[in-house]
Amino acid sequence: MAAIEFTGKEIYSRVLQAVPGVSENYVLNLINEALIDMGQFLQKVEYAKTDLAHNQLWYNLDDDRAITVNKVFRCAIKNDAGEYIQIPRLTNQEIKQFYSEASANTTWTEV
Amino acid sequence: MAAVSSTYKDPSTSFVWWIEGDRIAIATEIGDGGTSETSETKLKPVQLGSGNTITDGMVISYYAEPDKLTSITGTLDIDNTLQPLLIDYVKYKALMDAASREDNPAIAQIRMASAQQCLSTYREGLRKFGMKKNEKTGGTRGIVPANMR
Repeated sequence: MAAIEFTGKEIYSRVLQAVPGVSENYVLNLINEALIDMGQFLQKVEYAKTDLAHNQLWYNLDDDRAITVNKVFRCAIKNDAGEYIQIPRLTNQEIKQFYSEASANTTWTEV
Repeated sequence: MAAVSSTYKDPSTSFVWWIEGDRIAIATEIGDGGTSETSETKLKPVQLGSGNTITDGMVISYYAEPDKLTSITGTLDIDNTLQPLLIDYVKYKALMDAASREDNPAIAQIRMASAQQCLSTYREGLRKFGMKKNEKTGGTRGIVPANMR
């Protein structure tokens, strides 16, 4: 049985009970504002992949990408058999050589 | 750029990742970057030969933000336990705006009180169901000891 889910229209009808006369577009904007606010909380898990590029240390995760990341919790690299092998997180968060190259061309694809 | 195949036998022993700001870093001990700090066994960016890439060489798992609602007839991209809270948030904002437009102070007061009620329901629900705050930016967290005075 399908889960109970509200549509924007149903929320609009609820808001009309409290504040008569508001427009659909106004409520749509408020719904998206609410989604941004609730997006601060961990909710849904997704996966995305991108190309590994020569001599590129940084891969962008900012909101300009095709994905919207709150928190990365796992990373895997493709091996010679085409399998994705999980790699460890570096706890001290840095390496000795400094790299500042831009990675604006990082293109993520949702898996 | 030329696509090359992965030659890594076991990336779990030679690769690391971390987050800095809104970027993820991938470093490896394999290959030689040409300096004493980027030689074999030192952590450095992936070395594939100039211009080369490994197509779909990396996969990340992450907590995502909900998708934007583009149409009033669309459904919400959040867990349904949180959807009633979203209604409370929308009503809170709508009531606040309506209160500020209202000429009659008594009605404005009632709307403000209703808005506050919606806000407290929203906050209480998020505390129960929203899990913990996100960590969009990486980095070491500080621990503040309790003040015993």
